[in-house]
Amino acid sequence: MKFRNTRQHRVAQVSATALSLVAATALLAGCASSDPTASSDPSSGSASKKTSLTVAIGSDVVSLDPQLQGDLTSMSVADNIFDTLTVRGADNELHPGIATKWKQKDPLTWEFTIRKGVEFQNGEKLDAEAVAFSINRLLDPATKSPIVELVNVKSAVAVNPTTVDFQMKATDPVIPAKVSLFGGVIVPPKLITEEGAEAFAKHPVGSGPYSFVSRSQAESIVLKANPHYWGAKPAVKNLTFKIMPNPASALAALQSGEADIVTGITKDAANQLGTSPDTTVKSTAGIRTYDLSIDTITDGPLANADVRKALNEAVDVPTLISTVMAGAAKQTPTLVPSSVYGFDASVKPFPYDVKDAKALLKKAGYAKGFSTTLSASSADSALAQAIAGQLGKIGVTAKVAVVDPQTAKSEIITLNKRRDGGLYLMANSGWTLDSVSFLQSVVKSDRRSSRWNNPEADQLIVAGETGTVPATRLKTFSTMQKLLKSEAPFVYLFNVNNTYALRSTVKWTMPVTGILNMSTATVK
Amino acid sequence: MAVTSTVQPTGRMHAAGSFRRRATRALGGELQQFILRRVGQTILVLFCVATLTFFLVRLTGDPVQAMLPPEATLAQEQSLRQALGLDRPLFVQYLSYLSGILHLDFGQSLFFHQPAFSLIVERLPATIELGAGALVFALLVAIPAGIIAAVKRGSAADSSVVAAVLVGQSTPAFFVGIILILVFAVNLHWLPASGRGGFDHLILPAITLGLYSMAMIARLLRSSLIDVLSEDYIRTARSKGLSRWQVIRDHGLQNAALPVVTIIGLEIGSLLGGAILTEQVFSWPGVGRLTVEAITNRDFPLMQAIVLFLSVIFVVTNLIVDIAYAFLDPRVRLS
Amino acid sequence: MTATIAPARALPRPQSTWRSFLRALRKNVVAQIALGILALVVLVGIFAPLIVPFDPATQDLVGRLKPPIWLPGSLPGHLLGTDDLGRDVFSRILYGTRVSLLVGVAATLLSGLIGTIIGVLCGYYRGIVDTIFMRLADIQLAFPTILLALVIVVVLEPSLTVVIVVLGINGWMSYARVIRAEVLSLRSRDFITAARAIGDNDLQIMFRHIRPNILAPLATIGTLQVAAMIVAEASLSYLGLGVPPTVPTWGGMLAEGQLYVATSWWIALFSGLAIVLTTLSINVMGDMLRDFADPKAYR
Repeated sequence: MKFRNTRQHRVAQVSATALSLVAATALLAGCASSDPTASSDPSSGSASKKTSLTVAIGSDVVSLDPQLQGDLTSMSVADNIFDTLTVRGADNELHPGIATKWKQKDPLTWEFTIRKGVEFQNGEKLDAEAVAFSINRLLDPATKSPIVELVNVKSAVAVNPTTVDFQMKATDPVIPAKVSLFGGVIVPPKLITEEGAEAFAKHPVGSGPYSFVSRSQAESIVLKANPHYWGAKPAVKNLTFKIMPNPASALAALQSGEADIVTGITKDAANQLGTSPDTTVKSTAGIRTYDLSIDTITDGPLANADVRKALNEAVDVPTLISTVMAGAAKQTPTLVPSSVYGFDASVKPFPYDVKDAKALLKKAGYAKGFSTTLSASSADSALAQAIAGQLGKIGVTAKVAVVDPQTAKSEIITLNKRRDGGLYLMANSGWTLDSVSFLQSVVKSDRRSSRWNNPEADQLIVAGETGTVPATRLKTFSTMQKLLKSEAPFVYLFNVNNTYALRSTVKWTMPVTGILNMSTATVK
Repeated sequence: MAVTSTVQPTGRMHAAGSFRRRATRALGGELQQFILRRVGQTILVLFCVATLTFFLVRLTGDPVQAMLPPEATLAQEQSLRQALGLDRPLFVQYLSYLSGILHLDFGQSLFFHQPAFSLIVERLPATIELGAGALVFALLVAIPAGIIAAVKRGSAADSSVVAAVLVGQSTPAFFVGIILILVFAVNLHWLPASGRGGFDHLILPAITLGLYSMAMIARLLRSSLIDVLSEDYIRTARSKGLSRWQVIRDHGLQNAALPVVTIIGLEIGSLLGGAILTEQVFSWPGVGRLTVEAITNRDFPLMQAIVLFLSVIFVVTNLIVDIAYAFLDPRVRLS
Repeated sequence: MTATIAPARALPRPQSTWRSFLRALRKNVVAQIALGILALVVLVGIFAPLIVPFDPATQDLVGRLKPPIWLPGSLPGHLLGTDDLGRDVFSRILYGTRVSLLVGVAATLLSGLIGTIIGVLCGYYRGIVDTIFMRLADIQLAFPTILLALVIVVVLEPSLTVVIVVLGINGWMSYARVIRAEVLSLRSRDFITAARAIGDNDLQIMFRHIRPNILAPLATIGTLQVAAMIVAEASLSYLGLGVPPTVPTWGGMLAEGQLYVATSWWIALFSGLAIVLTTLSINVMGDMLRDFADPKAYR
């Protein structure tokens, strides 16, 4: 195609010039407006390395308003800026936070005694009014909070400046654990009332060890130590959370020193680091648990308890752990992991026994095996395929159906349970560290994710959710776990470790909940 | 795709005489009519995109279920759904969406609890920087490559340039990105592995994104220049004593440039699309990654806003180019 | 005599075109290599089940992430090592050939079919039909592919067919444009009027006169699109929207392999190389076709 007349020459010239000008301007503008956080951020630039820390997280914070988020990453960042009523210690026990004491006054009232002398980072006083405000704000539908744990709380009332009463709709023995994160975060009432939620989310103010400095959406969140913190002052003065969704890039950043801690990675990914004196990989107990949910309600082989026991014995969990999970997991005998309140150590996991599994199948009338489907989220595709491979060895052909994580999540809680077909791979993270959170959605027959109909189990759940005597609750959980073993309505797998990598100069241990509270971190 | 409908790609002149006469006479009116027609069509296109998007995103799933943990009760789900306005009848939501657009209100992101428009605008500079970097890289490599290959046609230089360029076209962008990260960041530690920052952060992502466009532009420039160089008037110029490079500079490039410029326009569109993958690989905080996040979270308002935003840019660019062509080439207005 | 600048393409003369093509091929070493690679790829695709050393689905969890045979720590028989579930990388690449070729060719045929029909309709009926489809092309081009892909994948269950549909719907515009231009130009030629005068109906005219002129550009676009489709399938798999992971595809292996690229690089490298070599060969052939059949067109 040739254009010889001068008009078209002009078009070409003009367009070419215009395009190059646009490109050059855009490039310059882009470079000028980009924020090289390393050099332009005054705090990290001038401060010494010993008091600065950069933590790589796998996804951006949904909102800096702690009551508008519901995921562990957003909560991790919030936990540095805000305080909670109770805190989970390194011993996995509940310790006083903003609340110094708590007790269940009567089945429908929880009483919390509030610490004296605490101030928010803007000087506002933190007293019982602030606590009541925070809880009521969370419960108000107009706030649109995705935090659901305080479902049994009707409202919070400040009885006096140091006492808050939770008035309950139903008895809930887990409340003290539930206010250690998410629902227990205390926000400044005066600030929010005066400036509104949007301004608060843009510049959050809490009472925690770190104050908010700045945020670059999808890039980083910068915090600095709060000099007026009521608790132990943090050793790290400048804290930056950098968003790095790609584990390979995050680990490369660790090696180059751009990041000091890399979190949210699998052991496989961490192994990519190789051995180096500059970096350490740690893999400690976590709360994320994997199990296979079985459709026990629809007629078919899966409705038979013997078949389900056979499935349990066909899956070689220790090998799965040592291979697919690269050793970073611990087998769970039933749904409840060992670090959780109510775990019964006397219940042993199913043995890996292919012969016995085949015998059980034969006894149930399925000597030739059967076919079913195994649904999973695309994030767990490798694990699902490995399990399907193992089931294949006893004649159970599990067709693996993988969907993207969001679709998987919706399918699990949809009211149409049969849509999943036979098996699906489910993950649960009960951060309250109470057995109930690993049982409640999937065991009680009237819950949305449940595919099991057992009246005894239902009664046990009610007892566990509403019982007030600790000794009785423990017995309830023990009975529940024995029932889970004998009826095998799930295939039990394992509980995944928290894997993270640090530069060797950093001293910090990740708690079992995976929350990234950096007030205890030190840099050599 | 700068030229879809109104300019016939073969550029042939039909019945030259009568068109020209009529065109010169009715210059003003013809052009105005053309512009009005195209603007009207553009608005219609945008309306269709907005409507289509509205209904399509609702097919992807449920944002309320995406936001809540599995322990949420049905009552809690209903309450959140109501608070977010997602329980209203579909048509009511559609009308409020349309009326919002007319007031330049593109809704609130369900997940981030911020206006969708400001989220996009915040991330836009990053994507523009990436796109511009990719384009600059593409041009910097493609223009010399295309010229050399055309001038030394048939030689070893030509073949190797073409081969190298073809490799750039045949390699999936994210593969290139992964290899580049592995070599230059993880192994050699010369460049950062991800994120946005100074110029060194831009190099690898720009190369990754620009590789395909570089290939297209280089090949096009080469074939276009080859055609031009074989024309009579080039030979005339040479016979007048001008050196080969003078001829190329004065006559060849200008004539070869037009199709290339058209392609550059097209490539800008594909750069916007390719940015999604590149931004994922390099964790680049641009609109591409925002799109993936919006889709992952089934964030209806944000998805709608992004699609509308990108469509407006795309369609308006088309419109401007078409009008420019119509202004300069009378044949186009009358088609 | 119409004042048309005669088009550079010659009247169709099938036999000598073919012979001159072969002559050009003989002179071009690169094209010969490309053709050879393509032939190999097609053969592998057809005979994969017969030549694989291992069943691509057989897992060996203990033997996972083992390196290729020439490196220490490798397992016997596994030429290119094993992946994260212990499956043989070489066998999976061989099997992946089938899927990639199938997806590439089927998606191209689908978009070619859609594009041809639309192009003919637009060029022939012009007016409102033309405007609607050209605006539809604009709308579709403005819409991010990934969103369209997600919607389709979520509504229909992810499968090979769905991926083909997603890719096929995506590429019809190039065909439509070429065909439309061709039909438009032919409309104004004198011999159309003459043909109508002797009683040929519209369909016959289009078929007889348009077909020879569009075969070359269509073949060119189609060839290049097969390459683009193979790369697009890989991208879809990378984003998690592709063929289910139980089916071995090059794109899926690349997506899976990138997690291990620092220490177990063979998964990503060899699957990536397979993609690059195949698409490169296709592009070389497509380029040759274009240079030969229609040297004046630029797309």
